[in-house]
Amino acid sequence: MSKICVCLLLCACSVFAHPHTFITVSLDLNETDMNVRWLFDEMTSQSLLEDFDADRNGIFSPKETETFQKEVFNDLKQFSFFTHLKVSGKSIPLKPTHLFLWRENNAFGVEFHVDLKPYVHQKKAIGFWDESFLCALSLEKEQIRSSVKYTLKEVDNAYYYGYLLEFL
Amino acid sequence: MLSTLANTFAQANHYFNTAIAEHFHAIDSGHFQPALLIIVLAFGYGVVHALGPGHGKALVAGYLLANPSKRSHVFQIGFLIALVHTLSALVVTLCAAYLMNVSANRLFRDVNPPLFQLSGGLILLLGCWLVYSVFKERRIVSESVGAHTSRFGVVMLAGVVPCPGVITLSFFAITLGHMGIGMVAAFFMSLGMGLSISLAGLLAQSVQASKAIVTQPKWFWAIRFLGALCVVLLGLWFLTHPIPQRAF
Repeated sequence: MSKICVCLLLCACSVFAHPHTFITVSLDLNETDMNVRWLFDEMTSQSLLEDFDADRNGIFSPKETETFQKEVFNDLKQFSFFTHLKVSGKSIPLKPTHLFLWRENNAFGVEFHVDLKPYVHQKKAIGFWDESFLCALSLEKEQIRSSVKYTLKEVDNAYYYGYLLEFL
Repeated sequence: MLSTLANTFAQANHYFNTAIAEHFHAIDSGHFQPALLIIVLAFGYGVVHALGPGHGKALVAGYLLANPSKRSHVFQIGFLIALVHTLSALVVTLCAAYLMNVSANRLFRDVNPPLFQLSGGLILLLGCWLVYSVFKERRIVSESVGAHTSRFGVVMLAGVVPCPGVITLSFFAITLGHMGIGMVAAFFMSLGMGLSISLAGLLAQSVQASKAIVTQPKWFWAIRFLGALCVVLLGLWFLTHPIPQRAF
C-alpha cells in the first residue's frame, strides 16, 4: 500500500509543468492606464531576437513589431496575455494596445498598454501567470511604479504560481 | 504546499537555464572549465526538466503497469525515450538553423501541434492493443508474463515529440557559435531526463512488483488493466486536447 501511495504522490507531482521560458514583469500603473513590460530570459531572447530583429540592429521597426504581433503576440490572447484582469470579480478580456519591442543587453523586451479607463472607481484585480506554466512570470514590488495603492501577493494555484495585484 | 513545489521546480529550472547561458559566454575566455560546468549543469537541468509533465513519464508508468518488466528494461525505456526526445529536438534545431535559416522555436511552433496529435493517435492505438493483450492474458499469473518488444514502440511514441528545453539550449549554443558544446550539453541533458523518466518507471514497476499485487492474481490483472486503460486515456487526451500554437 505504501508503494501505491508513493506512486500516487509521483502522479500528483507530475502535474507540475516545467517552465522553460522565464519572464520578468514590470508595471507602470495608475487609475486609468497600465503599461506591462516583459523581459525574457537570455535563451528565449536569443530565439526571439533571431526571428524578429530581422536587420540585427537591436531596434525594432514598425514592420518587425507587426510581424511579432501577428506571429507571436496575437496567439497569446488565449492565455489572456498572461495578464488576467478582473473587475468587480468578473473576468475582462484583455485588449492590449501600443505594442513595443526592445532589446536590453541580451534580453528581449515586450511592452504593451492596457486601458483601465472603463473601470475607474471599480474594484480591480490583475493576475500575472501562465496557466500552462510553460512560462514562469516573476513580479516584485520593486518592479511596480504605481500612483494608486495596491497589494501584491503570490497566487497559490497548485500546479502553477503567479502574482495577484489588487487595487485598494 | 503544492504551489511551493511548483515554485521550487520553476526556480530550479530557472537556475540551470541562467547558469548554462552564463557559462556559454564564459567559454570565449578560452578556459576549459566553463565547458565542463555546462555539461554538469545540463545533466542537472535534464533531471529537473523531466520532473515536469510530459517527457513520456505517464506513458511509461501506464505501460509498465500493463506489462511487468525487468528493472533493466525500465532503465532501457527511460534512457532511450530521453535520447529519442533529444535527437528529435536536435533534428528540429539543426534543420531550422542550417536549412531554413529560422529560429528552432519558430519551426518547433509549426511541427509540435501535428506531431503531438499524431503521437496521441498512436498512443491510443497502443493502449487499445494493451487492453486487448491484458484481457487475453487474464489467466496468466505474474511469473509467466514475459518481456515485450513493444517497449521500443513506447520509446518512439514518447520520444518523437521534440523536447523544447533541448531545442532552446542547442539553438542558443548554435547562435553563440558553440555548436559542439551545445550538442554535448544536449546529450547530457538527455541523460538527466533519462534518469527522471526511469525513476518514474521504477515507481510504477515497484507497485506492480509489490507483494500485495504479486500474490493476488486478481489484483495483478486489475493493475495491468488499469495501466493499459491509463495509456488509452492518455492517447485520447492528447487527441482531444491539441496543444495551441505558441512561441514560448
